[in-house]
Amino acid sequence: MMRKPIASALASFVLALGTAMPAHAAPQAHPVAAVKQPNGPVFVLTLEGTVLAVNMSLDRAQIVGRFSFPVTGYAADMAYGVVNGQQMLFIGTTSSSASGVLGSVFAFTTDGRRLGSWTLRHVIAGVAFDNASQTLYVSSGDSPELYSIAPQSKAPIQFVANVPGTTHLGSMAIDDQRQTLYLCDVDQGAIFAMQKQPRRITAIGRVTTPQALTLSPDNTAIFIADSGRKQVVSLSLGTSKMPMRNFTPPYSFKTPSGLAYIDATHLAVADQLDSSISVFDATGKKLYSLPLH
Amino acid sequence: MMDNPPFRSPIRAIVAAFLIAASCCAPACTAQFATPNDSSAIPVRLDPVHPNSNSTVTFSAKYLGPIPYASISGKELQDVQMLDPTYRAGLDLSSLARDKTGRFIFTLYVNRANLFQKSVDAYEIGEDPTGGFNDTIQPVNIYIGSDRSALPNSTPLPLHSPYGSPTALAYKPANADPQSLPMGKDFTFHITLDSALDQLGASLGDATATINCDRCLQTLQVKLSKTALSLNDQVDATFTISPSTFKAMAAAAQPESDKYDATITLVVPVTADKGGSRRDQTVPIRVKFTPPLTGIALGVILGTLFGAFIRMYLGTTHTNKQEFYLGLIYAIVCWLFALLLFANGKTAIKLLGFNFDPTQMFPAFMLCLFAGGGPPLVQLLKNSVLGSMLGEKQKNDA
Repeated sequence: MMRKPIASALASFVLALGTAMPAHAAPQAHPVAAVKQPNGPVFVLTLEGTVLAVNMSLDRAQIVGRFSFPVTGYAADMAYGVVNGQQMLFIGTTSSSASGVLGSVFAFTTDGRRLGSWTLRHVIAGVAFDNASQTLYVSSGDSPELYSIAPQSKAPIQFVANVPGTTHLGSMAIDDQRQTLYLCDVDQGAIFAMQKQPRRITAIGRVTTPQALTLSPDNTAIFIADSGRKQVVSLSLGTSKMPMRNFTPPYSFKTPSGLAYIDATHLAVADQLDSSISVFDATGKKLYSLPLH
Repeated sequence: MMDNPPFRSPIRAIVAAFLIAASCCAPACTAQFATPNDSSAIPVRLDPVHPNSNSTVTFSAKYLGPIPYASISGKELQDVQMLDPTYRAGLDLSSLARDKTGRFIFTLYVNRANLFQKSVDAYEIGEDPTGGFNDTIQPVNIYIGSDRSALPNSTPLPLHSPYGSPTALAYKPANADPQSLPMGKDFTFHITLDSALDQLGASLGDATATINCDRCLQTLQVKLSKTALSLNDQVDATFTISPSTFKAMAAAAQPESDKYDATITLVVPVTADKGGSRRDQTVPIRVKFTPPLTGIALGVILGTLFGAFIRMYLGTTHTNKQEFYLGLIYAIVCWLFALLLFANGKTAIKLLGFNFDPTQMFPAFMLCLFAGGGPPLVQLLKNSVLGSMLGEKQKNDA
């Protein structure tokens, strides 16, 4: 009696694998983060450790460059910053071994030359660069801890704060105007605002599984890629009665994983499982999508 | 795979249209569903599994809220086999991804069986693996509604190790261990690696190779025969090398082991399908440098002649001619005997860290020189070395 359902489950599983995975048709490119260089391309980081430079306009996009770096484990997040006049990409990766977890942050030039690295005995889930203080913030994906790096010095990673009530911190975004760092808990879906001076952390919203945060260019809303509901939502930073709004409908992506504004009104959304990056206008209408493999 | 919902009555069609519209009226609607009421959720639980004795995968189920069935009707869902027909559930394995914290997540859709084709409750299933194991597929117990609802071990799920697959490739050197690398010319050889993957295929990255002797190779390149590996599969790694003759001779004179001169370390990045972690598989290949036959012959002939001449000039027991012939015979016999001993792979002749391997050019020369020179040469060395040491001692004493 038991064998038949098991056999049918296995058969349907194999069928599902066969149809859902055109596995070896193209090199793996699962985007996990996107950042925009001012007056330059959008950089897209893949889980496998490749950075793609994509020129994006309102009607088309083109991959114009790429570099790869060896990743044992996976790459999780990327931030753009200018340190001492040098444009940099900061990339957070995590590897595991029998001796435990090792998170690494690498600093690269935008053409892929490695400038430095820092390590942490935690999963690195998010990186965000604060231009004003020249500080790179690093969030721990397996604890409530937030760390910082001073890229211009050779100092090790510094502990900054515990975010109470969280267990798995994720992506971050920096609001220069309000001197505030926005961060999220991937497990519980909560979005927090951490005011830098005086330091105060408050919960400002909740989604299901936040994968990426980015601030709108006018600093009025924070956009959240929610891989649980497979959509992008916006969270108003004003005093709106309805602060949380759908930017795209639920289930409009496979796994939204990276957000970057390409200009004042157009948002690029990277989709990890779809291996693509799409551009949306201010109303949430999709303009086009670029396959990344 | 589940069928599209049949719109058999106008009421159903209206309900379905309403649900579709509700899901698509993007910016106009507020995102109140983003904080789903957990108390209304159907309980979902998955038993932990143990891919091997040292590892465990535990699961978490996060309620994402209800969605209309129409939103997922096109998906390839894997039915969860239920003992209790009250509920129906489908797994969307094509949604398997990694979140920012590195966990593997996918979506499970659940509802009462009679309501499933109207709307479903979505759950994000998270895998938390600990310990090392090869990425695999194993059956998992999923409980929906009650602890007696699941058919035991009926739901196969892909399980990924946090380390990546530690033993995805196996190398069993057959006849060529150690692998011979001829000196003085470019050389290509290949080895075959067997797939040790467990249920899940993998993609292979660009392989690299290094050797642990100092600059003994001018070039060392490796190329794999394929970029994707399946179960019970094989992949060939083709090495192209260009030895640096003198460095290779030096490496052969001071080998890493009695049986091989150096080790090439092949590194193959392996990433299991369905979003596994990249893991570098390290394969050591033991190598032995072999000079060309003409080189060995030259070493033997020169060593024999030098040895025989030394014996002829220094020897006093026999006539010059006899000493010369004795030198030749001793040198050749000694070299052949050493060759015979080396052939079984269990013998090594070492003097002051120097390996007298009769298959190497310089060691063969030295071996024949000493054997051919015989006692007169040993006496000469003894006198000169001991003499100089005694002279030093007397000088120090004075």
